[in-house]
Formats: sequence, structure tokens, C-alpha cells
Amino acid sequence: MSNIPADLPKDAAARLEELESGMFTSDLSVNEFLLVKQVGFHPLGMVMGSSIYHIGLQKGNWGSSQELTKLTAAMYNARELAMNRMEEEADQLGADGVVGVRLDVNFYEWGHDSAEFIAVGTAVKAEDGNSYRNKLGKPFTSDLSGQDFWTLVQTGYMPQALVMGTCVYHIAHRGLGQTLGQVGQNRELENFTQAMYDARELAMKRMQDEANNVGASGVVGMRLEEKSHQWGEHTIEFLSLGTGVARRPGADGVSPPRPTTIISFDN
Amino acid sequence: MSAASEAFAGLGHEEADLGQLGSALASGVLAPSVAGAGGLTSDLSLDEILLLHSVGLEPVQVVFGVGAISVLTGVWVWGTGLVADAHDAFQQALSTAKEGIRQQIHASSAIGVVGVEVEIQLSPHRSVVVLTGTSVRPSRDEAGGSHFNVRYPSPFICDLSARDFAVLSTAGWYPLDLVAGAAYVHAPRRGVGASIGQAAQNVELTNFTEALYDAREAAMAEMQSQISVVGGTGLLDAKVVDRPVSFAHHVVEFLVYGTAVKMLAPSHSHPNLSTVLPVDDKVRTFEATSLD
Repeated sequence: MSNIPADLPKDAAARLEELESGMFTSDLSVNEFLLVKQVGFHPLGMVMGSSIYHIGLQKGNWGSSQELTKLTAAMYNARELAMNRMEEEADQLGADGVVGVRLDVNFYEWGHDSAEFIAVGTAVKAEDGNSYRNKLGKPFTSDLSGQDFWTLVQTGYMPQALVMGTCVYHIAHRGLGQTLGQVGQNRELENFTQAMYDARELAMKRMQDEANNVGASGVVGMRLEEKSHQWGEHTIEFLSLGTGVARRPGADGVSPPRPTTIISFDN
Repeated sequence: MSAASEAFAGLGHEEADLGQLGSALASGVLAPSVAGAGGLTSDLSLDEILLLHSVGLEPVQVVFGVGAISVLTGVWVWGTGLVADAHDAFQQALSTAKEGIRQQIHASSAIGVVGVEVEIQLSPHRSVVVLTGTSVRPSRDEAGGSHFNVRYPSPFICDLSARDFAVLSTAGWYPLDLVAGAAYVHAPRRGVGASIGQAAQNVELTNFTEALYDAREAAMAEMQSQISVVGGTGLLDAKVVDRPVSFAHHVVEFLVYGTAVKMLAPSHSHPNLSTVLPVDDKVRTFEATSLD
């Protein structure tokens, strides 16, 4: 096939061709499968992208709070490689989108500062023949579960893209004098508070920029993760992740279903 | 179970035990008699049994299968590319375990196994697969018939729970078989020069990425061909294990398994959904363990 992206390995293309013939693979649960079918999408295949990446070295100044731009760049770059490869596989299948995307980082023991960045999800295609790709012409991506996807579609919204922002930040150590002077006192450690605020703001701002780029009107299912990975206590990655959503054209009259309240006899 | 204890007598180590257990199962020594109607065993909850009855099935007995195949230790240390020996051992262990289950349900009127719990262990010397589940058969209603009218050519094995089986079948889809793909790939070691030159840089380790892709593609392709062989059109609830082998850090393991499914009804039927909002508070349960 001539339209296989050059970035995809040869074997992947052969496997994806087999999927195009009608078989699907998916890591959706039975419930999720039925819910995705219910809103008019059919799974095409489990799509994956990964990148094993060596993260460069950068040390923060012992006493200053600052973003470690080189590490931020590494975390961005590697995740984008993984996401793009997953999107390419979905594109190759002719998918309208990818649901249930999981974005993971695994640190392996075979190399210092090396990590596997992996994106896995299930590519889906609309059964009504319409295209549900996002503003950029790419399949939408979303980390919403099948249940959340169903609920979102009921409200007249569609996912546009999994958006993220990251910031690797070095939080200053406190000087000896400062520490000694405060022993025994109740007080806010302002430099720590300030550093955490700055880093979170940077990560969230970057995520919002990504959401704007795909024309999303909001981000749902957002979460903020703080991880030190292998950098020690004072270097922290702030990662904000969520699904950018926009109202589906022609869904103006749609209102979400009103739930029936129940008292269950479970347990 | 005296046959089993005899089979184990005098065996010094675990590998022999497992091998012995596997062959005991295969020869039907351990299979309980299912001729009597009273011999029901199941690890299903009451809810699940009711759900099975709602689709015309009833549990028969707990069945299990074991496959333990030895691996040459040396394959983990040297080599490039796929570790074929480890792969073959896994697939052989899986098919031995599945065969063990099929042998056990052969004698009964069961048509398949639901809720199969899959245990996969890899050690330097062997690949072990243990499958445990509950076999099911069509239940008889008052008229002596059953309203489960799907005829399986051979018994199905699925790792979907009984609940999932019931829900899936109401939509017109049925499980066919447990399918799995596994691949172990030697990641090439980087040269000292490359390691030192890149120590401070952000750079993708393309050789590792490629090794991982090789493993993934081999495993996925193998699983897809197994789906074709059993006549499935899809795979649900895929489980993925993707990690370096714990005792051989330069070998990447990619393991994927799940249940091959097929739509056997004329068309997909959507379940009737209604959104509900439970208003109960969290239930406090009494725990016997808190007494000590």
C-alpha cells in the first residue's frame, strides 16, 4: 500500500491491512464495546505508538526554583512521538477516532535515564459514514472510557483530541539558615508553595493551548499528575491531561438524559 | 483425588509436579465424574448464575488446565531478534492448558467455559500457563428444552466473566476462544561510544524502539491469525503486558491475550439503556477479620 506513513514499521502495515479486511481487535471491555456500538461507532483495531527515549541531563541550581526546559522538551517530544505513531496507525485504518487512550511512561532497567513512552487505544469508525475527525483532519483521540464516551455523546459533544501539558520543574532547596531560623514555628514555606503554583500553571496553560489548537471548547476528564520519575525529590514533572471536546454540529437541541434516581439493593 | 497424590508422590521439584499434573489432567485422571446431576461446582457468584440462566445456560463444574513447558536458560543471554524458543514454549503451554480444559469438559454436556482466569508465569527455565474457569451447558426449562440455541462446533473458552458473557450474548455476539500472542525480543545493546556521546542529550533510542515494535508486531500478528483460525471477527478485552523480562533486562516481552468473538445473530441488537443515579450511601459491611 502506498499510503502507509514512512514512520510505521513494515510489519505494522501488514497487520493493519489484515484489520482493514473486517476483523477488529480491542482492549474495550464488553460493556464499553456495547456502549461504543450504541452511539454508532464500531471498533477497528487496537492501535499503539511507542518510543523509547533517552532523557538528557539537566541539573537545577540547588537554591533556585526553575523550569528544566531540556527535561520538559524530552517529556513532550517522546510523548508526541508515541501519540503521533498511534494516530498514524489509526489514520491507516481509516478511523474517525481513538477511544480509551492510555498514555504511560515505563522506566526500564536497561539504561539510565531511558524510558518507554507508550500510547494505546482502540480506533473506532462511525457506522453512519460521516467523518468525525477533528479540525486538523486527524482522528480524534480521547482518554475517556467507553462509558464516559457514551455519556459525552449524549450531551451533544464529541471528543477532539487528547490534550496535555507538561512542565519539569526544579524546586529550590531551603538554605540552612532559613531552615534553622524556622525550627519550631508554624509557617507556610512560601518558596515551595510558589514553585508548585508556577509549575502547575505552566503545565495547565500548555494543555489549554493544545485544546485551543484543535478548536476544543472545553477539556473534560482532566487530571493533574505529579511525578518525580527518577530525578530525585526536588525535580518534579507536572503533567496535565484531558480530552478536549467541542459541540457536534447540528446538536443544538440535544440535552443530556435525566437520570432516574434509584436505591439499589446491592450489598 | 488419590490418583493425584499418587501422581505427585516422590517428585522432588516443582517442574516435575506441574508436568505430572498436566499429563494427569490430559489423561482425565483428575476429571471428576460428571455423570450424576448433583456434581455442580462453580466459582460463580449467585448473580452470575442467575444471569447465565437468563440466557439459557447453567454452570456444570470448575475446570482447569495447566501447561508447563521448559525453556533453555541460554536463550535469554545470547542472541538477536526474537527468542523463538521462549515463544514456542509459551504457545505450547497455552495449548496444553486449553487442551486440558477441553479434555475435562469433553465427558460432560458442557459447551464451553466462562470466566477463565489466566495465569501466565515466565521463569528462566519454563513457561507456565494455568487456566481456571467454570464450564457451562444449556439449562433445561419446564418443557425439557433450552432457549440457548447457539450450537458451538467445539467447546468455547473465554476469559470474559459470566456476566460479560450474558451481556454480550444479548447483543448477538458470542465468544469463541481464548487467543494470545507472545514475543520476546533481544534489544540490541548500544555501543559505548553511542552511550557516552548521548549521555546529556534528549534522543530517541531507535534500536530499542524497533525491538519493541518487532515484539509487538509479532505478538499482535500471531494473535490476529489465531482469531482468523477460530473464525472470529473481533477481539474484546485485550490484556497487554509490555515490559523487560525481569531476569533478562535486555529482552523485551510483549504479551497480549483476550477473547475472540463473533456475531452469530443476524444483526447487532442494542441493549436498552437508562441512566440511573444511585442515591444510597456507602454501605458499612461487617468484617470478621476486624475481630482479631
